Amino acid sequence: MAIQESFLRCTACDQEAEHVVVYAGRFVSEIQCSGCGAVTRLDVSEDYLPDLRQRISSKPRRLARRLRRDPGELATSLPQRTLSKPLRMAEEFRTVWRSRRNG
Amino acid sequence: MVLAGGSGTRVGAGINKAFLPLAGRSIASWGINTLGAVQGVGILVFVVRPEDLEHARFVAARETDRPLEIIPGGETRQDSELMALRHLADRIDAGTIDTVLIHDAARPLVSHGLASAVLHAAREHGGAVPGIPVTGIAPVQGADGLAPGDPRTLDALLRVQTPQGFHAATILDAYEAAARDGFVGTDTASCAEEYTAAPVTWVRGEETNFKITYAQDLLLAQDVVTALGLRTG
Repeated sequence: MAIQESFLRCTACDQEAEHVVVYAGRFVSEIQCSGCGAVTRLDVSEDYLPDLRQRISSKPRRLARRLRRDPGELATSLPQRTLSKPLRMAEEFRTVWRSRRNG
Repeated sequence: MVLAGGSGTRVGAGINKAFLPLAGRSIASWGINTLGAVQGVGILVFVVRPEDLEHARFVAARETDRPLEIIPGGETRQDSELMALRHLADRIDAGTIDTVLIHDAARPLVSHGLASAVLHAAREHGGAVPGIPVTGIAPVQGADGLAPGDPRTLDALLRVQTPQGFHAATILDAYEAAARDGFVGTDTASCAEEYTAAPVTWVRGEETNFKITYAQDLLLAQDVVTALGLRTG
């Protein structure tokens, strides 16, 4: 699960306000307006698995590309990213499951 | 040039909306990759706020294969455009660059076809702007003064989009003149119309080339990406 905050215009209150955007993998699963509190939740579970398959299948190519472009960056970031991957995936699955329940 | 100078930026805000992820990569990178793949487009300039330089470098390193020239923008959109044009000035003067396309980073779903059409029309006419004719609205007396019976017809109204294309030397001169006069236009075309004699034509825009303004636009863009099967690699 990744969370980003950005200024967007709210569809509910029509004000420019900071919005909290929650991602499940590559998909936005929730957006909350910090101004009025309006929340939009989406069920992304149906699209998630095909996209996860695509992410897994393209991973070697993406890693090779990073290796070509900046081997130093890859060498320093990969060990930590690999170690934290199971936890990040577990959080991602939890977010998808939550989106299925609430979306 | 792709402008992310003022996209969703306010004091205290988290991330510039141009760098919000859309289907696995930043909103800005979608437009950058599309423009970069258009035949005839050579140099890509990415104009960002100084505080977004780190994000911009990430886009350059991880989200596109095209070389990006990243420059810090100004206080306003027009300042950012001027700085980008000045960045290219030597190459414009040398004739290496004949036409510039100016695109808003918050319009991720611009198509190759639209960008190509604007480039072609700009080379033909001197300036080109994508737009969608306004339909299904009724005139009311308002700030613009367009009332029922107004000789100006609604058929003449367009919802203007980007990328907007211009003859490079002409638009550079126009922006320098505007800066000297303190003129601030609403968009690139308004500056071109004020300071050049070059005709600005329009090409039909695309409904999917919308600007991410509302939170819901992000969801709509995500739906379009999924529906069109656009992959992010």
